[in-house]
Amino acid sequence: MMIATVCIIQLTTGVILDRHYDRSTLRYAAYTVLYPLIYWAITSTIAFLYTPVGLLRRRPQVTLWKTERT
Amino acid sequence: MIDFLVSIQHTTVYWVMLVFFGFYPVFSAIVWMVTSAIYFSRKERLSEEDEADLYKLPDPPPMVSVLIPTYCEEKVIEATLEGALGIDYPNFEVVVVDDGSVDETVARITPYVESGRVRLIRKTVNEGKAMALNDALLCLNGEIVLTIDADAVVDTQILRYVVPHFSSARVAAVTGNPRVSNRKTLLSKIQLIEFTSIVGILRRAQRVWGRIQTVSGVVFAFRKKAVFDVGLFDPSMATEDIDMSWRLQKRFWDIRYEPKGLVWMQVPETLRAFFKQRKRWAVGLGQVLRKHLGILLHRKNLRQWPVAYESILSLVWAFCFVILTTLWIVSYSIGIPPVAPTRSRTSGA
Repeated sequence: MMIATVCIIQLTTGVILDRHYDRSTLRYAAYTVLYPLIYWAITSTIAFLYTPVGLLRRRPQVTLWKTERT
Repeated sequence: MIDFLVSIQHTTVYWVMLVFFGFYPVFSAIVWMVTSAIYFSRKERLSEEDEADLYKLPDPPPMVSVLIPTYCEEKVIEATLEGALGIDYPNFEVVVVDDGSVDETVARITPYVESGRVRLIRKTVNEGKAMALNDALLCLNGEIVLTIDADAVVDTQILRYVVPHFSSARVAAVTGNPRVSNRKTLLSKIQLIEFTSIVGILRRAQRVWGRIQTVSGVVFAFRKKAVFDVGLFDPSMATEDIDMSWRLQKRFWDIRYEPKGLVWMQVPETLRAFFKQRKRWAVGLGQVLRKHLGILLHRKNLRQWPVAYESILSLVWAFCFVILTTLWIVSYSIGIPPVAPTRSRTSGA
């Protein structure tokens, strides 16, 4: 619980520091509560699965990707 | 099985992981918040006089090339070009390097090329972003290059804030402040907060420590000479921006963060697209650590150590998160709740 609280404090600090450049961010600050729970689970799982791929596997000659646009 | 699960929870490794899992985020969050607040008070709360001084353009203003690499970007490229052409700066050009698009991207750019406002470098073979940037470099008129992704709509003032940093000869690159423009889905809203509160805070904090983890591939300006000095972008890396940041700083070039260098970018809206993007970032970080971790053996790279350790520890934390959560889920599902810290300490005593 302490982790989540500190996380929310940090997220709020970020919103405050950036408010000069993008006032609209304040409106979305409420979504920060979701951050520690869901987002950490997803991003940690990705890091767990794929950083070792980069660390251990030989690099391909070129890396290609295509970004989907909606 | 039950005995095994319980015994795991009494091992030293488990306790070390648990303590690290619990305290690392708290510790790092406090460090980030304090150091980014230091940055904020030093660099972002200036008197009008100091600010005018900080953002004073050299006379004459140096030529800047705005470089936009594209691959199948028909949906977004026009808005990006309109944004780039609207930049308020006396001396710049807009160049698109198309990486062999198979959609209508080139057709969308053609009117801009015909009116002479945009130059197009058209590759016929898709070789990736890093190679496209390398190919374009030789064709650019500016010594300072601002590269933006094809979905990034720049703020009109971006060059007025970014270019003055290059007056310092040690500055190789300046990374801007990416803002999220699509805010429809929950996933994009969370990313909006992430870019504001994680990326923004970390950049500021890292500037105080001395070195930054990475420029944002979506918007950064660089000095052509510096990129040639470190041997151009590496096409084999999954994240050419992280790799370039580490290589530049290894050679003692300086990288700055400019929170006023705003761009509006799009983030993935579906879980699938998000997963794909983050997978690439994770692979890229792994490659960068493998390639550059040798800096921890060289004292002259001391200033790069904090970001190196920070990357490693975050990775270790992610591993702890996944392993511990999996253990707890398994443990719960067969009917034994994880050992509570207080109870186990008394039982251990």
